[in-house]
Amino acid sequence: MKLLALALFVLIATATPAMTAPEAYPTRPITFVVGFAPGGGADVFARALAEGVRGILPQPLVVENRPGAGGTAANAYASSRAADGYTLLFAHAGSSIITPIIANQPLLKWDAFDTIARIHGEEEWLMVHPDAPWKTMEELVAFAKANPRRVRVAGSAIGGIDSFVVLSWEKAAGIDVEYVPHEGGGPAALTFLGKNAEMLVGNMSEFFQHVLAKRMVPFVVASERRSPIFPQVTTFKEKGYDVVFAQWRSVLAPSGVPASRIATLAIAFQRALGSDAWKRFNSNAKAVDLYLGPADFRRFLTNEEARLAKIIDELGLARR
Amino acid sequence: MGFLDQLVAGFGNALSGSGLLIMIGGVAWGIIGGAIPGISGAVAMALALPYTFSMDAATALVMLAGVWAGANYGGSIPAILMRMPGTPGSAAALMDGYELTRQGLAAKALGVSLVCGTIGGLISIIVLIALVVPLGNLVLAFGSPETFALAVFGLTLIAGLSGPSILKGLAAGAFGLLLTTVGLDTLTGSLRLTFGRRELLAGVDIISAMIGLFAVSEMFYQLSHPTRRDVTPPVDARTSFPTLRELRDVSRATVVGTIVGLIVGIMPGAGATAASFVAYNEGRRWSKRPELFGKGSLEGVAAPETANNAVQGGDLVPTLALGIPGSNSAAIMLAALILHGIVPGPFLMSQQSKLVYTLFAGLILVNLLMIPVGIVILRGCLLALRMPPPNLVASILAVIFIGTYAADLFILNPVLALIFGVIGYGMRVTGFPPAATVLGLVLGFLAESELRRSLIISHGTWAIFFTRPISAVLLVFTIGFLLYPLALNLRRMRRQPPSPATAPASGGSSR
Amino acid sequence: MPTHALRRELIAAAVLIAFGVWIVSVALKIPLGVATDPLGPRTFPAALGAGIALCGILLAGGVLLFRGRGGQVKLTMEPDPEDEGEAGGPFSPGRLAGAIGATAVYLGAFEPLGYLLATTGYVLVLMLLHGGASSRSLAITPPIAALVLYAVFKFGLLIPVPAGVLAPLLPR
Repeated sequence: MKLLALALFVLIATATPAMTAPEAYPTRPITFVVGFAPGGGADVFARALAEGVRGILPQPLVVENRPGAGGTAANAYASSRAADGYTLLFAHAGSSIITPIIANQPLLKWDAFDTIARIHGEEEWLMVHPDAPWKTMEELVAFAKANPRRVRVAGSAIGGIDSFVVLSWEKAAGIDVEYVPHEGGGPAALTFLGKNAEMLVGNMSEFFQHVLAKRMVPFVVASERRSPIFPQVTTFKEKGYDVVFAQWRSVLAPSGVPASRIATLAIAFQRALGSDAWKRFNSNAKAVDLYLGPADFRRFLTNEEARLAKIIDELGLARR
Repeated sequence: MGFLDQLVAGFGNALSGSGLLIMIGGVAWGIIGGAIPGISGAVAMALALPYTFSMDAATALVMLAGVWAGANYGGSIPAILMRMPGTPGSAAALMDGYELTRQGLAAKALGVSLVCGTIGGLISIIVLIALVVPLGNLVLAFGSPETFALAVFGLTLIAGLSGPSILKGLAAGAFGLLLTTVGLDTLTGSLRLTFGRRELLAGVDIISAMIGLFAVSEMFYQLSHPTRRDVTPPVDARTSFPTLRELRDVSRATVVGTIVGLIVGIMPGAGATAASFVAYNEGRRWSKRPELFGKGSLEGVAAPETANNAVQGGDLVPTLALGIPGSNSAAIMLAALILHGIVPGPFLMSQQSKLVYTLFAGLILVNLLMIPVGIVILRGCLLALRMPPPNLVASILAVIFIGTYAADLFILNPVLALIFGVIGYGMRVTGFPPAATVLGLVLGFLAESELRRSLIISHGTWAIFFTRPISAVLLVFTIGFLLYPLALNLRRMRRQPPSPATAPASGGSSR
Repeated sequence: MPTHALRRELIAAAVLIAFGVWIVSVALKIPLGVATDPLGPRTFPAALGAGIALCGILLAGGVLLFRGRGGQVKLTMEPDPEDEGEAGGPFSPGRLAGAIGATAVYLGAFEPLGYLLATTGYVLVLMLLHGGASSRSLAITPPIAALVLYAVFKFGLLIPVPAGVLAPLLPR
């Protein structure tokens, strides 16, 4: 009898640590799938985040570019991978909400994935030339009303946040401007700088240097409050137009990742925001940390989708 | 410090420490990456990017520049040897390059590609170094109408690729153009020709389609027409490199290629691929022996290969002067800067002059290094041709499918390569030129999007193409070059009594 | 008068016309999206479809009107100017079907069976189809090619090549 009790005790004593020891994760590099070409805004963000998380996670984050279809080609690829925490997906409003709705691909929308964290965001700005004839929003709107389709605004592709800023503003102000879509922020900036457009919409990370060089002047920002970068520039909201958009960037994963791994990743990303490499990148990019953990991020996305879906509907973009 | 002093200091900087080794490594990786079908120059650079984090910014840039230059040449190796474009920019060299291989002159073609490419790259870098600031302002003069005009200019090559039947050439070209409309339209957000298939959301992958049309169809042809003879005669690398005389003979094509590459490189929307086809067209137009093009003309290799290397200098103009990348490859250089904490933009040249001059020096060095590194890798590749035909054909097909798979990791791209292989085969046996379809694929997206964008900018008037000087000049030349051979034909027909049996094929073919 | 060549041209023309008309019908149903440019998303595809159909009509017209007496249409048995017919042997439809079929099977088996096994089989089948390979080649080349390519892509380029059935044996 005593021998049996001893045997049982030994068995339980040796088994318990194995059962309760934390599983080792990650044990190999994690792939971070980005739906845009290398060198673009999304790609640079992903690489900067990978740098920030180095040393915090025992394994590196490896960026893999799968550009196409407004970012959704990457969504499709990521959703086909195992939900074991070794595949992550880059997401922003265009690739995870707007384009899947427009393209009628619910399986590529954010809610078909696990939410890991929202990381940071950039404000959306409207720029004008230094010699622009209008100095206030009122003057611009009056001009636009008197001259429909005369003001040209350069921006990135239809279905991206840039286009939504302009399209919503048109609706809110009752004006008709010419939106000139491009493949990305760079080509749009070139059209603007070449004087082929009167205005430009996009992020300050791409434009700040040109503002310093006096080739662009920030005119209005699409945020809740004025931006600390240029506090003298008004917001759409102040002028009575409910045009509030941000280019937030985040991380998703294929649906079904174990909760402990999600937690490990979320915590790692939050700590990465404190790293020197990340801080330097963020300040150069004129972006703001907007960290939200898995549950909060999911709530945010639910609200964001409701808001954007309404606009998509009003614009008549969704496929029936 | 004066300009020359800074440049010399740049050389010193670039060569310091293990700089030379890193540059050689970059060029070698670029050539190998470019040679693998499915991996383009930009992809090869992106794969190298993580390794640059431990380097300082200048070394990182120089290494990436080496990968970029190497890939421009590397793609032509399988293109010439196996009719398989390693990068989209090498598709234009394929047409004459593979013919030369079948004549046993593979080493000459590859040698011309290497030497002329290096010359083009070096000249474009020198132009960049000397004129980056004034050229930076010139970039802004190249807007959507100019890019559209260039695309149309390049599309006239269809006439030259059509062979005897211009109708079949036009149909094949139209098919290529049509394929580029598949997917999400950035200008309106609407889905086109996807038939509800999620796989087609991103459009038809150009590289896979090209590889299918050229390489897979060629392999299927060899498999279905079995012969005991070697299709491509063995080549002795040592004795068959191009002679100085032959290099002198292609000098005109090299000049044409350099000019085209520089101009197209500076144009923001168009890149190495467009440049190579436009250069092929122009090389033929200005050649003393245009009838050889398509049958194995060394000029037909020199012009496009020079152009796709000369694009490097042009691409860096907006990149360095304005902080706006001129191509995907340039975008990766900028990403490397950003990730090293340096902000690109109009102030880069003045605030980071040491970095910029090291980059200039590095660009010259990596282009020079292309020749020794390229020759070494070349010898290895020529050995591969000695495999017996069944082994070679089977291996090529295996490489094609893993290469196209590697780019996407969905089986979609290899399947596309297969489908286009069948289409390409069908086209060959019915007299439709697959090269015209490839041309359409290469220039289609540019042509349509820039046309529509131009019309937005012009508020709907078509006159914009003729009121802007550069675009007007390009379009006038295009129309002129199209009408000129027609006028010649008409004059010739009027001189002799017309007879249906001898009426020459009309159209733009200047054969 | 080579009538089978004529027939081939007419079939090609018919294919062009059918394809072109079909494209036009599909293009006209493309959703319009946000109206930014005057041409819209339908114009280009529809115009190209119409152009292809027109080429088909002109091609057929040339064949029917000139009946192979030259002119626009050049009728040859192996009508490919860049292809010298004498480089290859006689056409073998069986081998062509075999090549296409083998490739289709290979791509289907690529992921489930795994790269190594599928590629070994594929290379073997291709070499047999081509003919003229020594038995030694047939035994050595397929597995070596598969292994080399696997190693290069998996360890050199860090691409997750599918392990398939052999997954438990292969390094992750």
